[in-house]
Amino acid sequence: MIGAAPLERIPLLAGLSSGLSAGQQRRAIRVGAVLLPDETIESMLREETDSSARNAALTMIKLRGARGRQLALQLLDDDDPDVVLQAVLALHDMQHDTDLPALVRAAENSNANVAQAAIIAIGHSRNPAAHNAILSFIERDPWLQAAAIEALGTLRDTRAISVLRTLADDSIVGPLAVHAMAGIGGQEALDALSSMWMTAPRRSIESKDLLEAIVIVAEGADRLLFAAPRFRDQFALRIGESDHREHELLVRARIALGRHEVTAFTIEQFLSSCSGSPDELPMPSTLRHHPELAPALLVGAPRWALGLAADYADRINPEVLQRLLLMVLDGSVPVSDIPLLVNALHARDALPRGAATAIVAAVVAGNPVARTLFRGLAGRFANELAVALQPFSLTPMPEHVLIAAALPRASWIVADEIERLPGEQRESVLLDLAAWPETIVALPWGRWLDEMPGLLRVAARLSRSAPLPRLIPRFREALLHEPASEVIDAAINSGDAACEALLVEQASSSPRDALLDALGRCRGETSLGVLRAIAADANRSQRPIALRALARRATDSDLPLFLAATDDEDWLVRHACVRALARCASDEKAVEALLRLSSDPVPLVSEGAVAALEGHR
Amino acid sequence: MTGDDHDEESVQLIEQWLSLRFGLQFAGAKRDLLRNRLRQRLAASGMDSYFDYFIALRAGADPEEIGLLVDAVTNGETYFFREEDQVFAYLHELQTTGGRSDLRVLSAGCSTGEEAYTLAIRFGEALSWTRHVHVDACDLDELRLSKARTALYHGRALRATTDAQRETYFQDLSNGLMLVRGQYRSMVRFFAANLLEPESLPQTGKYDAIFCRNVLIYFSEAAIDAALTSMALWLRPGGTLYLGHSESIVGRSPFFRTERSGDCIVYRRTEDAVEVSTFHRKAAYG
Repeated sequence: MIGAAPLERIPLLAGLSSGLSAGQQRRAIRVGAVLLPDETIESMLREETDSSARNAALTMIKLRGARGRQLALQLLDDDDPDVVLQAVLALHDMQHDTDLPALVRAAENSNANVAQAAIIAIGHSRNPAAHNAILSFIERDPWLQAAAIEALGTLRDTRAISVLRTLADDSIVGPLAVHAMAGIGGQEALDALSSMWMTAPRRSIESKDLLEAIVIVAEGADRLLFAAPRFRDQFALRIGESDHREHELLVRARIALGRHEVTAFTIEQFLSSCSGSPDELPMPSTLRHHPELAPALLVGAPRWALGLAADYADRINPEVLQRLLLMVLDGSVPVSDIPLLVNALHARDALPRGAATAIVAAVVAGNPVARTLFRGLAGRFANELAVALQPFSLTPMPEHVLIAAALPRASWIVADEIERLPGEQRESVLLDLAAWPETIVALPWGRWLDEMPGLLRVAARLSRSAPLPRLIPRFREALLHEPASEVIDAAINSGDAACEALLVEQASSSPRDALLDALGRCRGETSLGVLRAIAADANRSQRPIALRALARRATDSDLPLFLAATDDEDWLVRHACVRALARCASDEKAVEALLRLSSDPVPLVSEGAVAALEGHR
Repeated sequence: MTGDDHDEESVQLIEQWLSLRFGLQFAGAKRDLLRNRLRQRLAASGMDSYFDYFIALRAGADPEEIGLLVDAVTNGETYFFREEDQVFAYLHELQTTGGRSDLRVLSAGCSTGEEAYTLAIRFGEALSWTRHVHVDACDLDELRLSKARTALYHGRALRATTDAQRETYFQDLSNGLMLVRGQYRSMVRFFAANLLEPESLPQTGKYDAIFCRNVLIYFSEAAIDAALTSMALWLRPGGTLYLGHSESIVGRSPFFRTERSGDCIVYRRTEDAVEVSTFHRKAAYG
């Protein structure tokens, strides 16, 4: 912990009230939450004239976890109602279910703001006893009653519906009660709201408010709710006599609660009431329990039909899927939605009739969307796609490779298919095989690399997903001549000592920064020694890179080197310091340095310093 | 550490470098755009790792590649006669208030020059009998500037240009290629300048108006402050700053006050004696 006068010792915090940028302020608060003692935060909370300090202190309490919660609980007994209010707000944010008794006590506070905030906080608690606690405030003055109603809506306990239904006719808190019922949601809330809506003309509450609540309940439910036919019929009857807003709500309610009686005309009305194009908007929640509407959406909103198909793959007619597939292939649906179709199809036992043929025909025609789709489906529907591909068996195609790998056929068949491809297609299809590591391992890499040395980069890349230890001698050989970055990565990841020795040799003699940087990912002592030597030499142009690499492996013995470099004018060096100091953050000097760096003007440096402080305290 | 982690780290370094060098920021969806475009630049430049690419950027070895990168990660696209309500509002203001004999206007972040020539055309046509009109234009991307200096355009750059305007202001070189007519070309000068560095623009006198539209949207908060400081230095007191419709600096800078001009919101350089310093830039960029 920082000792006396902590605010002055943390440059960022010292400036908290004097116009820091939003990013600096966020970092200052995070640092303060980690390092400031309770007393300092409490005194900031009491700053009557400095709202920045008060707000910052509140956020710090919230960020401090258990320590912050203890402080907030203590402050509930404070004499200053403003301080108690901040404590209640902090506990509200932390939502700990054992805080209920303390919050109930705060709700009895004579200060109305504190009491109201405490009641609302109780509504957010997960304690089953909260319901009765809130009910004890429902008969109080309107100020507390309003808070209690809001809290019941947040708590979402269905026991509250009968109370709220009674309050709905109150001219002052009625709309709040209806809103709270919408918040509770579920079948019981719908039943209560719908019967109130049917008798709305005889009530003081506005029919539109009730309808809005009904729509919220219907669209927010996690399943399709039941609405009595008598009630649903009213939607159709009232549509004609409603104004624009009510009309929109009626259409939404009709769809969200409807079943087979939803007509194409209603869908059309719904689409025209949407605030934007269905091509751009996400699927509205009105539709989310209605896979039966997918066919009706195909024309006006194919992306939403696709969304329903992905969510209810087992309940969507194969013909609809087939039409969606054709729309994806002809570009009527954006490429970014292909995963939805792939998901929808994956959930089925078989592709819709004719789908495999359509996809393969589009692939053969050079349709890039079809290629993407084929890649997504090859693993799941290899047999069907293989049959569709059969007529084109003489044509070299990457799809033959994918099917051979997916079936799985003997590795020599996969290799044969790869060899039939023109050179430029080989690399990309090989990278597509990452999902089949056994196939990758079984490929004839030795012969290929003799004949096509350029494939070493691909092999090195694939070694991230499939073990290829037999290629280590090849990596060693490549390290002697300007190795590609994939080869450097593969050599390091192989853990081979000879590879590391070669890397050290190359890095010591080559000006290429990537080689030096790679030593930071090695494990041996020799590479560490090279990094330390270059990092300590202020005259070496590669010093920043060496420091950066060394930072990944820094030990306590490297601390002086990094401490001395924290004022370097090169932000890359300061960033390296942050990473190294983060590894030694149990050291007080490292903490002091990280504190200084937390106000660095370069965000990557200051963010890193704050994260390091948070990680170690 | 895996190769993917190493790539991710290197992309972060490039992002930070772009932010420090040009004030560009890539929050949210823009970060995906950055990754996408970086991948393309990596492939096009024949490099095989993000780290190597970062090292090359840092060394500043290839200004052309830097220009291509900036071009790729920002939307350099613009067109003639775009969002003209601000231009007409300024013209109306000039015609109603009268004033100085010379008019000096800057198109800041001019990309390939469409806005600068549009200003030359509009102001030249409306004011040439009463005033000498000078349009300066600056961008940090030399490639865009060299294209701007050719004054040759086609396709999307002319999508809001009517046939009559094409005939009046351009010379048709066939194949759809249009050359801005000489009288307007001669009114515009292009400079390479960084909005974050006030001294990077040649000091040829203060401007009456600066049009800097749809540029600040790519900037970090600190970079916006630095750019406003630069533009406050470049504008004469009482001069006008025009930003894009989605850009607002209300209450952000002591050097500008917000005013309405016709249907447009404009930012007027304050007349008071506040000495503009480079404080923001120094604070933000060390």
